[in-house]
Amino acid sequence: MVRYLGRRVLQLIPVFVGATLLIYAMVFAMPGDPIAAMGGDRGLSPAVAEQIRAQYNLDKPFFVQYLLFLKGIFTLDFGVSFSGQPIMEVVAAAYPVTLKLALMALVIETVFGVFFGLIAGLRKGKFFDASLLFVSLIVIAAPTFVIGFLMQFLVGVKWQLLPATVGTDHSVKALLMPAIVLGAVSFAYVLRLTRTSVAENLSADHVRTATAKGLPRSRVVSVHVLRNSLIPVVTYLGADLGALMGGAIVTESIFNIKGVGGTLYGAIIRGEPATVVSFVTILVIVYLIGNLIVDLLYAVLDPRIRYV
Amino acid sequence: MTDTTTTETTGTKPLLEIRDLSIDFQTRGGPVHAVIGANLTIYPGQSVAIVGESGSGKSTTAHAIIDLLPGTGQVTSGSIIFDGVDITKASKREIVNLRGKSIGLVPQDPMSNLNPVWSIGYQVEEGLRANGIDVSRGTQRVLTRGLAETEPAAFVGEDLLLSGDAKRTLLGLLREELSSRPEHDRELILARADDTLVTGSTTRGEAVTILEGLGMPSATGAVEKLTSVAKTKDRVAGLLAEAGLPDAERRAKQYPHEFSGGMRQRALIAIGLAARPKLLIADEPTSALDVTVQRKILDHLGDLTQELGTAVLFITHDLGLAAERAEHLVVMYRGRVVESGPSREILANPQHAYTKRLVAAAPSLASRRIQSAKAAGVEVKELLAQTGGDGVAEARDDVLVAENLTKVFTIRGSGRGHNAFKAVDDVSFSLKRGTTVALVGESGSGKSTVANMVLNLLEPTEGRIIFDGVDMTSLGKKELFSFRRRVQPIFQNPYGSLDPMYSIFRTIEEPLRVHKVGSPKERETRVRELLDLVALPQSAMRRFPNELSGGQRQRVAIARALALQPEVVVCDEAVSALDVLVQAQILELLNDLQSELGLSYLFITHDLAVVRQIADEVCVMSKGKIIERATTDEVFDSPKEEYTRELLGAIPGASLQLGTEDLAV
Amino acid sequence: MSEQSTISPRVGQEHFVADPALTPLAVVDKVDETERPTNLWRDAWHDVRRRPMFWFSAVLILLVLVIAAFPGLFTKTDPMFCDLSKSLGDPAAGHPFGFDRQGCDVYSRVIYGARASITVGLVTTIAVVLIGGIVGALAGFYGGWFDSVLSRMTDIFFAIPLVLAAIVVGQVFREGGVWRVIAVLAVFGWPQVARITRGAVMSVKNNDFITAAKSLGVSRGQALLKHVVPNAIAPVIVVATVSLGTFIVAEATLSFLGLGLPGSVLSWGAEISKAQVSLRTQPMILFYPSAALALTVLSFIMMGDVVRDALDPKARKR
Repeated sequence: MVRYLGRRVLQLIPVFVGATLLIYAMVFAMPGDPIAAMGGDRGLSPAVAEQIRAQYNLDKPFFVQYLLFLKGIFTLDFGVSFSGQPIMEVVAAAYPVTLKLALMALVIETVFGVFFGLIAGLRKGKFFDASLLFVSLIVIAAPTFVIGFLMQFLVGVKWQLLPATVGTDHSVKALLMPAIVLGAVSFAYVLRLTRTSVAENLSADHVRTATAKGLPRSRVVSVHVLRNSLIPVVTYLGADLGALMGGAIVTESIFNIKGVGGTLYGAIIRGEPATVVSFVTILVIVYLIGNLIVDLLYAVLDPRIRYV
Repeated sequence: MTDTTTTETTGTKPLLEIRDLSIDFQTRGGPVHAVIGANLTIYPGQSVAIVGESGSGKSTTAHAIIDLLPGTGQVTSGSIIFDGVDITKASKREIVNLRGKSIGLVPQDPMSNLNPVWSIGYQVEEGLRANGIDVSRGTQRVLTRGLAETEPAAFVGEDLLLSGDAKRTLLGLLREELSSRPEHDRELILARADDTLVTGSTTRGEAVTILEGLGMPSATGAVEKLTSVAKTKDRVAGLLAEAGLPDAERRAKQYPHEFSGGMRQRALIAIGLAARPKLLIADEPTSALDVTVQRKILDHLGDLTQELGTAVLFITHDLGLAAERAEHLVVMYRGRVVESGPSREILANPQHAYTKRLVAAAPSLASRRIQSAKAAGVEVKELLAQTGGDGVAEARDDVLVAENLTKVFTIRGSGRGHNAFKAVDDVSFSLKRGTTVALVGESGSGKSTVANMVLNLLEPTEGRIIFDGVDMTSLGKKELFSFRRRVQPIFQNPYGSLDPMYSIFRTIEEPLRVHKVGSPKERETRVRELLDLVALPQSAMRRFPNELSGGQRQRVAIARALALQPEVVVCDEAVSALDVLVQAQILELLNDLQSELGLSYLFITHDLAVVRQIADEVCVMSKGKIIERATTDEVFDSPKEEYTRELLGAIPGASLQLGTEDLAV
Repeated sequence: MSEQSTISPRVGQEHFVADPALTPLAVVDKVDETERPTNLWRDAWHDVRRRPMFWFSAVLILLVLVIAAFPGLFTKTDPMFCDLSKSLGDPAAGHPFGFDRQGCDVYSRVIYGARASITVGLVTTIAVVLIGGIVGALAGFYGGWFDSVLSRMTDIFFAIPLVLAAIVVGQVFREGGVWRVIAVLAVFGWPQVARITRGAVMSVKNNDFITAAKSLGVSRGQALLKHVVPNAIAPVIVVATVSLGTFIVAEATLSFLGLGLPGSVLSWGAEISKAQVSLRTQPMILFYPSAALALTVLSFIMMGDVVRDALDPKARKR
């Protein structure tokens, strides 16, 4: 078990290095000068540009730059943004909301996705299953922003059930609608995944054996079908946390939430490469942590891999 | 019927009575009648077998008994009366109550029938809990009652099961008592005690007898003082031990992936018998296992069910196995029961044309028959492999010689370095032109690795293969390419060995195209010839593999192998996956082709019964080595190695007496 | 055999022989020559054409393709002709969807918006299938270090959320229009196809028919091309169909964020973004491009679903 997890951690290292290197290279080493671009139309004076270059290590060779950047990440020192604010402060201001939003979305999609997926899988081919499947298709087909506007208009404006925008109120109630919108597409995927997995497991030989033992159907389903079916779902959910946080940018812009998306968007518009790189790197780390949690859950759910 | 028989037959009422049972499956093309008007009767404690080929309706019938018909299957008419209850009309709850408690199931494939995510012990325990069998509460009650009684004369709770702790206590006491004995003796006795006292299975009463027998006079007192009570966990270990699983207490904590196929099957037997059902359905319980394991498990199952008085319904395709294990046979064919009756009578005197065919074809029976015919001094030429004139065999040259073949695989160890695994260890044999050599062994014996080296798909670590006088290891790329023409394979799995995207024509034509033989027109003619040769209609060449049966695919594979007129054909378990009748047919085809085309076969198989019908010479492999090498007759008549004898004994039907008169069929 | 069998059989267990006429013996293992020959694709077609979902999505896809190719057939109104006096105007004759904030005809803008979505979807899918398919097939078939490198690379691309990648790329390359969007989606989309192709190839390559081909003298490359690829193509087709839909969504999302297609290109995503401000006064302006987008994506995803079911080996008999 320990060895298994140790190996998984080791496997994450190249992914971490590769992903951060890729982002860093895209932002800093591509043709075009981020420093020149940041001055906007007026442009920067050569002296100022030079100073900024030195401050961000841009005068050094690329790999030295990258290593210094990595060092910054591990010492939690992301430097200061071009506007002079420590990037750590910007991170601290933006991340909690988005994390809360993403976790709420994750809970919503898991609970409802698994629940409806289980029902659909147990009644595969019946009317209820077909309707759920169709709903899931529509949810997947309609982009997040369409669902967002629709809900905002109906729930927030027309029926006034929940606040239409979030602003500075980061309570669960205020974030509920954005979380539903954010988790909608993943909900559909979780539902479909659970459904397929449940239906497949239902016809597994070992489920028949369990039934033949004399177990009532409720126990067969909860003990022998559900646990086995959750294994692929867990894999999906782990990768999804990072995706939700990265994808929150659309939801945040619709509901006017000052989170990662909005800040990142602003950083791009204002031309602040250091902030952009830091933000994306943290997202990559979240993604990797999500994957690690999945590996852990995986080992709990499936004894086969504990000994690999 | 005479009076004496009536008293005998009315002594007990049937446990299971199936009357005019019909089962349909709904498909897109309308209903498929899987079972039509089947009748079947089982008495308590009796063993009955349903015999039939795949698609005969045998498994469907069995599943209907426990109300586990897959998919769209539905009973359309008839009744299944079990112990007075009609299962076809029973409520859901009644059926859940019957399952496990009254009717147990031992399923076919041990690999897929245990839930990989739960421990073995948990899965056995479920079988107890689901049926309300709580060992600990019962024993507790008996024990408290016993303690309350002041009468010391009666031995209290002698029916109680021994708990793991109690067993350890007793072993400790026994050790003390034996302290004066020499160490060697003591350890021997303790080991005996450890073996015979089975946690969760041996009762306290039995424990006293055992311990006294081992020289512990104070056994009664020691057992009576035990306070530890058998819990469900102990009973689980007991059930597993009863099913023949060694070291059951520890094993119960393991997961299915840590078990071998045979061990899993034992666990499934423990599950099936956990709640002591009156009827156990054993659905091809051992067909996925190695032959020797198969025999052991069936023997054990037979002993156990006889001891418990459990009736057993075997489902099998092997008539030999059925006749050996069951007293009553039911032969099914295309959904109907075509013949049923006492095993011996059916075997000796089959009436229905299909049963006759089965009796004639079953390889286990065929090989027994050859044995008994030989014993009776009857000429059985038509049953044996045709060598194209015996005696001349000596004069034939060796088309293929394997010299000291060794193959070492390096397995990437989990963490620490590499592990070398010797799959094949110093194997030598020769194949004479126009004859058949069988490599026999169980899974992991290295026989398929040898086949792959002969086919040049694997490079030997050491040793060499000489084909037609040429050392294969010395060949260049170009010569290898032409060697490919001369040695061709036929594989086991008829579903995996043909490309599903290729029509039969393209499949058989491929070798011709690859080796640039002839014009398109000539190739088509050749494909037609080959189809004729393997007795497939020419119209089949426009079809795709998924439209053909297993046997037909195997014919296509043979046609493909023969396309380039090879000299040697390597048959890797080529008939193992087929139904008996089809198997017999393919073996016959191979025999015919051999005498017609002068082919040499290297025949890889785990099944000695088949060997008898095709091979001239046999090499028995075990753990990478050839342990016995002789002509087929010698191997069957006077096996030299213990392992060979075990393999021979594992052929079903050892106890059957087949008169030579059976040869008439 | 136990001793019991020597006593005469009990009631219900007498020797019974069925009427041979009921089950005439068939020739063992006879080929049924009356059945029509079929194969995977023919079976799939047979399966698919009974499903209403297939026809629904097929007709819709065809319609969208025609609209994208010849928008002029569906509207005579110039989408670029806007009249501020008609800002947010209700539907009128010839303008069934009304007017947007700038007073442009919503209907014609929805019609002309199809081309951008379809172009991005189709070209990206083709690129992704080519890159991912080739890399995945090679990695799955040859294994070894190549496979390890690919797997890690796939992980790296999976670690970076698509929208973020697009934002970063958008920040670096501000030019390029449609091609930039396609490039971003393709670069971050191919690993998924590669992963699926790799899995499919790996499950095919261990089949006996590959070994049989090798022992016939077929080279490794030929075996991959002639035997492995045709058998591994089905899941790739499924993922390609579904991806086409998701790429259209991704393009719309990027355009919605202002990071997608340049303003000069008409696209559904940009239309939806623009309609956002009028949500409370004239929600239908937002509805029409959204519905067009959702229906298009729905038809592709549904098609993927139908194809998956039809090609599913588990659902096929035998």
